[in-house]
Amino acid sequence: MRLAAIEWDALLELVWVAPLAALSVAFTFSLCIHGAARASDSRRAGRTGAATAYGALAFLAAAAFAATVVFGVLVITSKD
Amino acid sequence: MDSDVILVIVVATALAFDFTNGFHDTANAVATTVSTRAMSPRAAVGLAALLNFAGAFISLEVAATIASGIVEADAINEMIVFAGLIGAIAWNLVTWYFGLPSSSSHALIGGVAGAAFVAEGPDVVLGDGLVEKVLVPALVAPVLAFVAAGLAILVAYRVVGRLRPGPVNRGYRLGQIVSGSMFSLAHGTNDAQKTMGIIALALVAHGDLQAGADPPFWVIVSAATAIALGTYSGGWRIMKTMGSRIIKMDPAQGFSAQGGGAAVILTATHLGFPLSTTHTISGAVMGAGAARRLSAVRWGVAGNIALAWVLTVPCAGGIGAIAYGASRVFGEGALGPVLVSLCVLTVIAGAFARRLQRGPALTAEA
Repeated sequence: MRLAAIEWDALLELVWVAPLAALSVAFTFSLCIHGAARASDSRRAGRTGAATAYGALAFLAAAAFAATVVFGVLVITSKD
Repeated sequence: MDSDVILVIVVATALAFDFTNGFHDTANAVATTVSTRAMSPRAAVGLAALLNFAGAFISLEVAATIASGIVEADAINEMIVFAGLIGAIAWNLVTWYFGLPSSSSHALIGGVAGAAFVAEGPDVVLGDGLVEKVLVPALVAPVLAFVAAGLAILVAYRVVGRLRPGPVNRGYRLGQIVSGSMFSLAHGTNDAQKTMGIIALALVAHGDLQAGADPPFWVIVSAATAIALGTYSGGWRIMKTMGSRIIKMDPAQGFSAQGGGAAVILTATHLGFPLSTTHTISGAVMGAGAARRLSAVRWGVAGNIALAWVLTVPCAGGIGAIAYGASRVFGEGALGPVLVSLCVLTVIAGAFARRLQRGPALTAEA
């Protein structure tokens, strides 16, 4: 058995890219929840400015999360 | 006449393996979704079945050979494929019986390697291939997913920690539907192709298909249908282990496990380093629990799962070898595979009947 058979480059790249990707997914989606929840609270408290800002944060985070999902679907469908 | 019967048996066994694959691996995609009540069990397995069915049509890549790089391609024939499938099906059912998640792909590799070992000798089993395609991914997937999901849950708690739990839980439950769907789609594109490859290989050997040609439409539809039906049947026992026996998870942990696991799977696919969905999500579930509190993970259950992974290739290989030997006792005709198939069906029916009488099995002390 030879260790040279292992694709070390791909493995090493995987070791740092995968946790980074997981962090990005968790961060963007959590930010989306944070923004949406704070926007709702602010709207109920009558703080329109804060509600708008948090709403924008939620929207941007949702867009980033959606982009990640689309990229994931492209990876699934274009593998060869 | 004999070769026609063997072809029918190989196709039927391949579809049966595909069914057990969907049945067995459903838990990977939807267990955390069900356990955090992001979706009802029926809706979750229904969505998973639909996405597995769609996934089978999306990817055009069809493996021309099975156990490629692990067994010498020239050594594989219909009888070895049949015996390998029997080994994989049997191991899938054994692990399902005990509620243990294990890799169907590794079971298939083990089954074919065991049958080829007995049929052609040890030289046809490639050690380098076993290390590269079984051992290393089996070590990398759970460890990496453990770390990724652990980091993901720490970030998630950090960001939403001071919010009211109601909207937070609703949000993560919604996210779990997306991440679970990604898992199911990825599973469909990976695993249904294996069955298509097996059937295509049998058709080529029988002279019904040219080598390298795309599989007929009926092969694609039947493989997609078998994996979807298996998925819809639901491997509830494994789902229970994955969803609630390893850790008791909240929606944030469920999302982190699925999101982290999906990130690992898709990154690995993108880099051309395919990993087992079972190993990945199992590691991710443990990571999402351990990051909160090490003692939150039931390490006894985790140990049983790890033991099942270690045993997968040798046990499926052993059963594949026995199935091959038993088939060849009756010569090279169809009688051997027919009798082995009948024996397997009888054992499965007996096991199901016994299980129905005895109630649920335990994988470890809860």
